[in-house]
Amino acid sequence: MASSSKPAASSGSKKDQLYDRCAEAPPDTVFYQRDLADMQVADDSASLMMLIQQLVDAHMLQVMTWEGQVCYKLRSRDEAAKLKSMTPDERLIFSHIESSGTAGIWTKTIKAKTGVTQTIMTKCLKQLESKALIKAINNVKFPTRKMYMLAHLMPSEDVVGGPWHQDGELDVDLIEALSNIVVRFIERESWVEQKQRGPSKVAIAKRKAYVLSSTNDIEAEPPLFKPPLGPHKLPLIPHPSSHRHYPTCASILAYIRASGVVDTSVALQEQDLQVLLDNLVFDGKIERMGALGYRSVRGAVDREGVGEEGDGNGLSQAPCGRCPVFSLCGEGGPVNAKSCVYFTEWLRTG
Amino acid sequence: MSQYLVELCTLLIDDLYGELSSQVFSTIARLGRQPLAGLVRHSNLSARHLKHGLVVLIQQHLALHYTSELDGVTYYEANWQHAYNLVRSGKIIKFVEDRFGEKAGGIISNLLLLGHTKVSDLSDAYGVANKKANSGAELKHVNGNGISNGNGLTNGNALTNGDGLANGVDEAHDASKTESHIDSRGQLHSLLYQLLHSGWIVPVREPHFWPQAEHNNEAEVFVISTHFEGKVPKGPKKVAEFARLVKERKRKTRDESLEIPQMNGITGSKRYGSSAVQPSKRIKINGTGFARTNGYSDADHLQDEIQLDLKQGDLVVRVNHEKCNVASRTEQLTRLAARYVGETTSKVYEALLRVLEEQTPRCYDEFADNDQEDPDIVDASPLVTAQAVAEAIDPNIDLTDGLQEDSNHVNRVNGNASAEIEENDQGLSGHSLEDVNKRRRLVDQHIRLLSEDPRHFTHWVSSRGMSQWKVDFPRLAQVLIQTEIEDTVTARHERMGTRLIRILHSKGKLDEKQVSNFSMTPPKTIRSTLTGMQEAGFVETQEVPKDTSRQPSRTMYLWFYDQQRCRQLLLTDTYKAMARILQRIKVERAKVQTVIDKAERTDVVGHEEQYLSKMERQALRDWSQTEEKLLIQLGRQDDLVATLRDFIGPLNS
Repeated sequence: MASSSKPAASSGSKKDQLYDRCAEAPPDTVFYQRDLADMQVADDSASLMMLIQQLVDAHMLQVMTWEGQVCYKLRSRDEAAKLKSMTPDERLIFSHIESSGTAGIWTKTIKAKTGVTQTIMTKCLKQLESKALIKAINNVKFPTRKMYMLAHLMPSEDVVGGPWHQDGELDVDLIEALSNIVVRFIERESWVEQKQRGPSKVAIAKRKAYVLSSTNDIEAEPPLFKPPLGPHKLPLIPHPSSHRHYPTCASILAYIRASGVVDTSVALQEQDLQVLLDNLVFDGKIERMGALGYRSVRGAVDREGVGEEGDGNGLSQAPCGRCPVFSLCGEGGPVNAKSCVYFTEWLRTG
Repeated sequence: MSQYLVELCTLLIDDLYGELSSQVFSTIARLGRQPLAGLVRHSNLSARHLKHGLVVLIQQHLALHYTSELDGVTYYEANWQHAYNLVRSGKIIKFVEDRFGEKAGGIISNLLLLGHTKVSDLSDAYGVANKKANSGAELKHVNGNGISNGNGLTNGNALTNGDGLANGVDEAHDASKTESHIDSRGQLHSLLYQLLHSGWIVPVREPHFWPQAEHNNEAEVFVISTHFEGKVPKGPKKVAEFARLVKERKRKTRDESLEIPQMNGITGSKRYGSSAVQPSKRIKINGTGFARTNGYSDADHLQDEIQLDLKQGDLVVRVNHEKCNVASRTEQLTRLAARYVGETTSKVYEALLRVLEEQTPRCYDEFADNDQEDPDIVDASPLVTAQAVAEAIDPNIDLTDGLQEDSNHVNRVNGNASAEIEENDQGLSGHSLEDVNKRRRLVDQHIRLLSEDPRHFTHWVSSRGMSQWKVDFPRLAQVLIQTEIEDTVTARHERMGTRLIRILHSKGKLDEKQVSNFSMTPPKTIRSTLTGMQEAGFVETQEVPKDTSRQPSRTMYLWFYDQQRCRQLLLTDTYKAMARILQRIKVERAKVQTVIDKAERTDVVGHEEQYLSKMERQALRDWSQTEEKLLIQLGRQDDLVATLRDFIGPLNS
């Protein structure tokens, strides 16, 4: 009985029977009329058409056309219920949004296609959004446009703007984190830590002693620029000029992929990385070596936390170079060298 | 001549030569080319005062003058280049001391003090000084003689109490008292010869006092009469030809007037007498010719000749500031290399550049023939070999520093198989030959590092003498300028400003969206930086209206960066900042003037402990520290000026 009760229950309504048969097929199957006829739920084509019409009216089947033929797609019961609760306007707008797929649709386009008034559309969109059927998305190409797509879909690459964007905006954190990783990698590959030299050091000491005895006015001047130190606190020196293996875009990408620092969902392509590398070149962190290779700029990785201090020139370090009222400054003017507070401060700080 | 440059030059002259000179200078700088009558009319100084002032200015090359042959009227013009160069006195002395020793530095400081002088006067001063062992006073006396103005140099105080720029002069006095005793006239002359030869001092002839316009007129008249049969050329082709000939004429006149230091054959090998290239051409000093038959090592013989030569001739000499620019460029480039490549490598670079210096009379030639048709001229930049650098470099520098261990493997690159054998023979050959070879190889590697750098500090030319190199100075000068602009922008607008400048520099004109894309930064973040830089003048916008209505809403705004404009802007700002520092020095000085006056009293000098209170001594100490800080900053701003202005052609190029 149990076995017959179920068909009996469903046979209570041929409509449900047909729906269940369709649901047995894999999701997103497209049914043509002959497929539905093959299910042998309806007795003849006329009653089949009626059943289909009932299902369509209940929003359980979506009508589509393909090469001039009508075809159908199944909707879930929940979805159907939601659609059923919609007003006709809402349904119309929803169908347009649905048809736009992962590309999303601009509100102005909806308005043009449906011909509804602004107020009605706003109301409908609000309703749909509150039912969690659609969501607003940001398009990187047109950040000012208000666009919508179905709530459960992921926006396409075009809309999102590649791996550097998150929610339609540049993912500053990701870019910064990855930049640091890339710069460190490039530094490791393009500079060498100077080894502590064993035997040659003795030779140098000898020579120095010899020199010292001949001339006695050698003063070890501190270097103009403190040499940047590597991870082992030894000074970094460049590769010899014969070195040909500076990291390239491809090798950096391979490193990033292998290291697994980036989520696999972020599909990083070579051209995406190239943008990042160009940006790092502009930022003065890395520099090009030859056509493809990259080398980090000396001291790009700051291990001692000295910051950007030390750079600059005679002008930018003097009070005048940073003076906000420099253009007003003049002898006998409201601002002058005698009364300048910036000078006083600068001279006091020693 | 910008307003701030006049202000700066006037302050400098005021510091060194007193108020009258500075007033006269600011008058002629303000009025431009004027005869004396014009100067009297437009200033509130009397003719007598003006004349006094002009004498000082002319002696110091701060004013140019020209007497027209037609009406006999003398016109005066300010020479701001030399006026500005007053700030560099200390630097020039240091450059010369570094290269030729302290005695040469002493000579330079005296020359700077005197403006220009006869060799015989200079040697008299030294001669007398030696006999009486009182050089300081005597030198001052000589200065007094040279200048008729009571306000200027005879006022010893202005110079000796370390007033601003006089610190170089101060050193000179100390130096001439203590270390740089010139023992004999011969020694003085050989040093003078060395300086003349290398272009640090140049002979002075009458045309050097002419304004630029006179040189131009003279060259034009000459070219018209010789090449165009006395007719002014017409038509584009002829006009171009005319311009070229005038340039050539000007170049020739200038080179002739500086005849003595024109050397081409001497390279870094000069301290090795045997290998020196012997210049075959006869060098003329003031009409008396002599052939340089021996290298420098044959000092006695050479000295005799020079002595003869310089004694007879009353050659007038002055310091050559163009050469100073070359040295300054060496310094700046060395600094750049130290920053981006490494300390030791930068020292090798310095040695290389100094070898090149000997063949470089000036940073850029404003009368250079720019015609690219002649292939010989295009590649006229001087060359240098690794060998020459290895010989010139300070032997105390540890060349293995900054290079990788496996340096020995590079042997094969040089194809120098014998080097290894020699290394094994160390016991026999001592360290002379083996050492020389090794050093040469290391120098070569350092130079290769320099050429490998993205800034391309050197360019490989051929493999003569280990390897032969040249330096692309014009391009490097651009790099220096760009670096300075970027440093300034970084200080004022953070890293982001510099990044945007670089983007605009490399990509040209961009709208905000594109800038945002290239910098991978949201437009909101960059907008404030861009606007800030626009206010400061580093970047500009161009409006491109989308339609004829030209409404702001229908207009695109493209951001762009103009290096030349920034260069000019920064230069003017630096002049102004330098003027402020000089003014501040005066202010700081005025605060403690009473104490200074007391310390300078004759009864106090030497008994400071006794007569000055603790407070007063502290005040003096504080003041001298403050002044030193200001002076250091002034010197660094002068470095910036050199980079922005002197290493490459004029701003409008």
